[in-house]
Amino acid sequence: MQSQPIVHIVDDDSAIRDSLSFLMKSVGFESKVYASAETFLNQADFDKPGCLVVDVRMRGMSGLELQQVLNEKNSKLPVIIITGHGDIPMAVQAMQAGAVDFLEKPYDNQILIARIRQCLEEVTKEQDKESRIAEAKARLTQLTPRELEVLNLLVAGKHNKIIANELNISVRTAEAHRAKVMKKLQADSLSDIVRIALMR
Amino acid sequence: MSASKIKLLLVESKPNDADKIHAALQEVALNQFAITHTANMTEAVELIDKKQFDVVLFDAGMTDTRELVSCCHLSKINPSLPYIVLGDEDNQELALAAVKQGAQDYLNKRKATGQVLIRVIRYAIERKRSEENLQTNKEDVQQLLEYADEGIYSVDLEGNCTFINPGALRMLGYHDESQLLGKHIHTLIHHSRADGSPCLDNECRVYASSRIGKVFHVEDEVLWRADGSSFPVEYRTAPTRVNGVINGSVVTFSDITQRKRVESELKASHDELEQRVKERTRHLEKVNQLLEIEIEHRIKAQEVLDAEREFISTLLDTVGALVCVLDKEGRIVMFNRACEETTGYRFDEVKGKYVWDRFLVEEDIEPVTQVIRNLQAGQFPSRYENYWLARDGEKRMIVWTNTVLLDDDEVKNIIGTGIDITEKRKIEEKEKQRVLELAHVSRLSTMGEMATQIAHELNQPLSAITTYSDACLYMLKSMPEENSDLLSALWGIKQQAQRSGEIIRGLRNFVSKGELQTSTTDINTLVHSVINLAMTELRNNKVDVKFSLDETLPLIITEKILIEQVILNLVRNAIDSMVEANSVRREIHIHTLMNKENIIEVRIKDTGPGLEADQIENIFSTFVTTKPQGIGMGLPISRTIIEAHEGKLFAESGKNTGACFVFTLPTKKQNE
Repeated sequence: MQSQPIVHIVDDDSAIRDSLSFLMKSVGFESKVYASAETFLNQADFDKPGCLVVDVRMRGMSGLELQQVLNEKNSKLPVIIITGHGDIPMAVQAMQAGAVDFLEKPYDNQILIARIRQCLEEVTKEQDKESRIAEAKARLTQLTPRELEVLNLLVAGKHNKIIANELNISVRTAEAHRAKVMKKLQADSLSDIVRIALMR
Repeated sequence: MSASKIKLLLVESKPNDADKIHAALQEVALNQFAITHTANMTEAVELIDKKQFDVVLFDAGMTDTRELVSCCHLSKINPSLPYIVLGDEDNQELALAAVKQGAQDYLNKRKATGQVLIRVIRYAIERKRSEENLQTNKEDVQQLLEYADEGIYSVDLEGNCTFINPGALRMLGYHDESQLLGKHIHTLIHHSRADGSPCLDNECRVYASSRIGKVFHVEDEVLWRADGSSFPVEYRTAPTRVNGVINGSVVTFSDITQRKRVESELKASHDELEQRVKERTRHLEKVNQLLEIEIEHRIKAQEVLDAEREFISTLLDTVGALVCVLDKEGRIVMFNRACEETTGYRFDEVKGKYVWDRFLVEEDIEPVTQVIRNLQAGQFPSRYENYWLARDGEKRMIVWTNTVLLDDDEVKNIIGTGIDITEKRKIEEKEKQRVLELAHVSRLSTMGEMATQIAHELNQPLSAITTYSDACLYMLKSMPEENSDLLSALWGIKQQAQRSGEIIRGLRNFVSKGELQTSTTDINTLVHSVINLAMTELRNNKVDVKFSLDETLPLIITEKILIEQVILNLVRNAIDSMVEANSVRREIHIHTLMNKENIIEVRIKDTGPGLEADQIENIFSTFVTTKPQGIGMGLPISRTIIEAHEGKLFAESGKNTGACFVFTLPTKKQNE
């Protein structure tokens, strides 16, 4: 269900591109490199989880311009901007345009990796949450109307006896429904049930 | 008013009401009032006639409205008396009628409390009083206007006459004010100027006064009489205001025919007098001028004479040039003050001496005597540059222009005029030096551009190298077997790439902007780190390094990487020179110390062939190198770096002792 997030690297210097891609591989990140912002826009699937590392100064479209285009496209791709040494105005502009971070050249690769890792973790977390919600919704659809009633009462904090009473069924039946609900929702405990129910 | 009681007449037919009012006043302030009460109108009239009251309270209800008319009667008996009508109910008509007929106020006696009563009474008295005052004022003003000698009239904003006094009517030749009141007075009396040219509305300052709210004083206009004749006037016009808003303007004027006549007569006689004085003055001035010219001529002639006399005697002493006169043998016969100042000898000390005995340096004697011989042979004028020795032993460079004085075709005297150009020469030398320095600076800025370019070109690959080695390091670390050799080699690659980057950045910053990114460091630490860097080179070339480092030296503020670069450069030069010369003994001695001037000094000495004297001079010039492969950039850049740190870099060398390069750095304290 989950795909490996991709580190997109845009830099007009081929050696930098190649070495960064190598660096990404060395720490186990999947990466794709692009020689220009234009190529990136043409080739990359930036709706998929990942992050973008881009040099602010490039021939053709600059890093900042690329950022702008992505903003216009409502892309959620986190952007890490690489700026020249002491190029504070650029860095500020990048941050204002919504970059998650900027690194000043010469940067330490360790820091670059740490920042990318952080970005990707957040992306993954977001993705996890989305998929968990989707799963919970899928499981909930498997419940029968009666089971849903039982679930609602369980979530409301009612005991089996009271549930049985309110639904006008025997306690035993109520217990059976409860077991069914737990099985269908793949819940181990009442708290699991509540959590899944709350995801609706 | 508070001192004496207010005398109040209460005219009230109903005893109940009278008592109530009495009580109300008593309640609040009885002893402020002396109250007289009557229930009868006729008695009231009598009382008012006889007695002095301050105020009358008059009950409207005691009579019908017909009786209210008798209020007029009351007010005519004593018009200065304020009176207040008391009502039974809220009857607006009654109140209005009463007030119309002169009552100060109307009061509903059913609602009036003592407080209200007192306030109304007070106000009525006050108001009446100020009305009286106003009336008196008005009358005074009216009288003033009536009998004033000056003409006075006023106009509204449209320019229509709203008032005119008898004085004005008289002067203007009108017999009745109705002839002018309400009329557009400007067109009647102010339509033209003395010369007959029209005075337009918008030029009239009477209107301007109300238009712009300013006071004008005019003396050069005329007003026109009813019979069409005019008279010169002096008038003032000022805006009039009601509640601060301008509603027109007022004019006061007087006929100044008489004054003008007197004035013009006076002026005529004055002018005549002045004319005569002027004529007389002119005559005197002419005579005076002639005299002055004559005096001036005489003074000038005298001055010229004096000047010529003095000129000859002082010229020689006042000119900046050296003037020296020799007899035909070469003995000094004349020696001016400039000569004295330049040489430090007085004329009497050198008089009669041969010029070459006293002043010439040895190598100049021969050529100078030749110059003198040439002059004697008739080759003049001539120019020659030579040194003169001053008393203090200093050599002064003099440019001489020489000529001779002839007596019957025979040389009598040799005259030399010289200019001391010693200082000028020095300045020229300095200028030359400066030009060289400028050239150096411009070379440096070219170097700066080059450095920036190179830095930019090199930074990318260096950054790639760092990244590659980082990647390798990560990969190697994640491998099951540890390969420490590879790890340390990769680590070295990474370190060196980063170091290269730093050097380039430091140099670029420094050379292109002249900026230093300083930090506090210890010079000995820098020396050690450089030797570590150069260790391989030293080992390969079998060079020994000996230290004598003063461990107590204070900290310095420097751009570390640049100072390291200087040390490294000097160490490499030392290695190269010893290798090049194939020296048997290869040692580098690095010495750090605090010198006599309290400045940190670093001495890097080798056991190579050393430097020749001229090499020491030139070695810091750009593109001068002693190395076959050198480009001659190292030492000039090093020197620039050290100078940017306010230190000095120079070379020392003795025969057979090897070269010694020394640089100084100010300590932290001196920098602060």
